[in-house]
Amino acid sequence: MIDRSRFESIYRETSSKVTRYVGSVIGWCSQVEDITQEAYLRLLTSAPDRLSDRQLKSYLFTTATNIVRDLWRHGAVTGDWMPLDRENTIHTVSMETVAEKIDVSKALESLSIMQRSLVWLAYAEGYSHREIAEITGIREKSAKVLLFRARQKFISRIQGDSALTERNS
Amino acid sequence: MKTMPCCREEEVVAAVIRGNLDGLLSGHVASCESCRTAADATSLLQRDRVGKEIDVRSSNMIWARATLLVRARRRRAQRLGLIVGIVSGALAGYLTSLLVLPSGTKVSLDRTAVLLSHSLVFLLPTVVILAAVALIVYSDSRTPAIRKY
Repeated sequence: MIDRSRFESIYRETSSKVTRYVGSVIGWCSQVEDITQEAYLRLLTSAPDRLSDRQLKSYLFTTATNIVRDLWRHGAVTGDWMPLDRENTIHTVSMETVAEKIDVSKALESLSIMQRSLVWLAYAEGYSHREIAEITGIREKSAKVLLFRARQKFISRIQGDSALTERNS
Repeated sequence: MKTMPCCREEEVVAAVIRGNLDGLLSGHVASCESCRTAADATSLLQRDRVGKEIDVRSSNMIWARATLLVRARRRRAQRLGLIVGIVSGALAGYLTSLLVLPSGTKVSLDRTAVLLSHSLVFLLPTVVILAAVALIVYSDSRTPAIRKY
């Protein structure tokens, strides 16, 4: 078990990130806090002491992802785990004009759970493809391709929302 | 428009997060559809995070729960060690008695049932083993576990 001061420091640095990650993946509901706490509990009781802070942070995201997957398997989280669609088309719209108008969380909701997880880890947390593969339990090449598709869908949804907003205004 | 993943995506994402997407990389992003969407997604999610502070609980409760859990696991491991010791001793006695009683005869599993009905020497270890199993099941049910969803 890692010592108290180290845990405090890791918790201070990561708690809002992990909470935000879980909230973005499953949607903001009462389970978010429970899952986050469970991830920290598992970190304390099961993570090896020798891990670096960076590795412990990855461990937290991995654990949170596993808990979400378990919940999804038991039907406690709704939505598709993997995407059902294969291709997405991007309509070119300037992102500078849409950035202030769109709701990112709505665009995330249009993705499958796995896609939300990939997009958040890559673009909000800045993890590499290799790290994302480790966290989500898939191969690096698969992570790259799945992330690419998820991103296309995410951007496509944002641009679609933006076009709709512009038409309505 | 169909695009393919680009090998410079990670570099682009890291630069956008650091806030220094410039020079050659910026030129590449302008000409690469895949990297442009990666940069867009990164800037949108980074921007979305700003100003949205999350209230998180104090770590004290998690620490306390983890401490209790670790202590309970340690106690359970000690109990299991004790039980394994007792069972091993009982099994050793049982096997020894099979070899020794009646003296000079060959060990046979077929004879075990007959011997069990005739001697406490055989019944006692069986009772000990059953009691140990019951104790394991009991201690397992009393150990707090990490929540199962």
